[in-house]
Amino acid sequence: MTTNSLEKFVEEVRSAWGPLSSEVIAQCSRQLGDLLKAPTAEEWLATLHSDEPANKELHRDADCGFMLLAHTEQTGLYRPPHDHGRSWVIYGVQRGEVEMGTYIRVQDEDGSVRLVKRDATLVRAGEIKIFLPGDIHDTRAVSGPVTLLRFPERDLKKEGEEGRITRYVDQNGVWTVKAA
Amino acid sequence: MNSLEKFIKGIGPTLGPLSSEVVASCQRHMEELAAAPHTEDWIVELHRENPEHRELYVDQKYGFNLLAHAEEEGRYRRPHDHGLGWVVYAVQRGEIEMGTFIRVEDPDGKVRLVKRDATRLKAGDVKAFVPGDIHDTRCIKGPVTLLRLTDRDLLKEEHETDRLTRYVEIDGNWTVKPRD
Repeated sequence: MTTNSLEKFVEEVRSAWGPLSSEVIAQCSRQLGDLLKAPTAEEWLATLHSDEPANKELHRDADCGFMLLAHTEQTGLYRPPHDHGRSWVIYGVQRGEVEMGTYIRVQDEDGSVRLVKRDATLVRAGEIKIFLPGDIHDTRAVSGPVTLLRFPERDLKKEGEEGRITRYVDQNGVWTVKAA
Repeated sequence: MNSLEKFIKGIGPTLGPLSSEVVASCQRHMEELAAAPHTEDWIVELHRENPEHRELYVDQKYGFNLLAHAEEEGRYRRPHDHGLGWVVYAVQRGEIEMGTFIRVEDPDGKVRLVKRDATRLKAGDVKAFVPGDIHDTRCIKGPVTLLRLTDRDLLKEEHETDRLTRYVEIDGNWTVKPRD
């Protein structure tokens, strides 16, 4: 029996879990959207607001592999464009506002790689944003303090350690890959 | 000078090969165009005649096309990409929902689409799709007047180069058309 919104989230995601599909993404998005409506009096959320951790693991699912992380960000914090390797990730803004830009990677005729920005979306408290495998994005905390819930399909730290995640660097005003 | 003439004069010098700056400029100009007063002759004519496809402007230097499309409520255009092209949509009248997808290939070689999200665009809203993006459209509140800026002639891209893919629904999955 579930006792709070976080436990309900885990239970519902576990029952919807499966390989990447439109249905899994839709169900998981809905569950994260519901979690953003959790009363701030719930202990796990009250603790996040009082402690303001930069990075806190709220759940690691031993059976399905997904994780739920919380991040506190101050106004102006910028995370440069990156992908998530093989993973999909759903972001939910619980408090504050974050601007998320999306990009595509293009390769010019001379072989050089650069990013082209597609758009930027202001994600407000209560809103989610979905990134599927291959998607590239940045984030900027626009109105802090931001409490961001991040729901990756798998452990992104491990994905990074295996060299599957690309983080882009700014060279002369162009986002590109780090020189070898 | 009306809004369409201003658009043509303003956007011309900013056009060029695909880059973040060109995409941003096109979005900005399309936003301004979508906000044009409904009393301007070219809009009055579009609303009166409701053309399914009308060319409003062709850029001679780079080949950009500005088109207008009238769509009735309920009209659905199934998922497709734009080949090598990229597109900025602006809703001038009505409301339209645009879903976005990625293409995945299962271990058995079968291709299927996974839906990322759906965005409801109201009059004045714009949305960009860069090369590789896959999307559908559904007219939610008609009649819709949709302005579409493409970086090339997409009819040629579809019929002369065969680079544009339109997906078909088979057993509830969006996939590629089976070969005859």
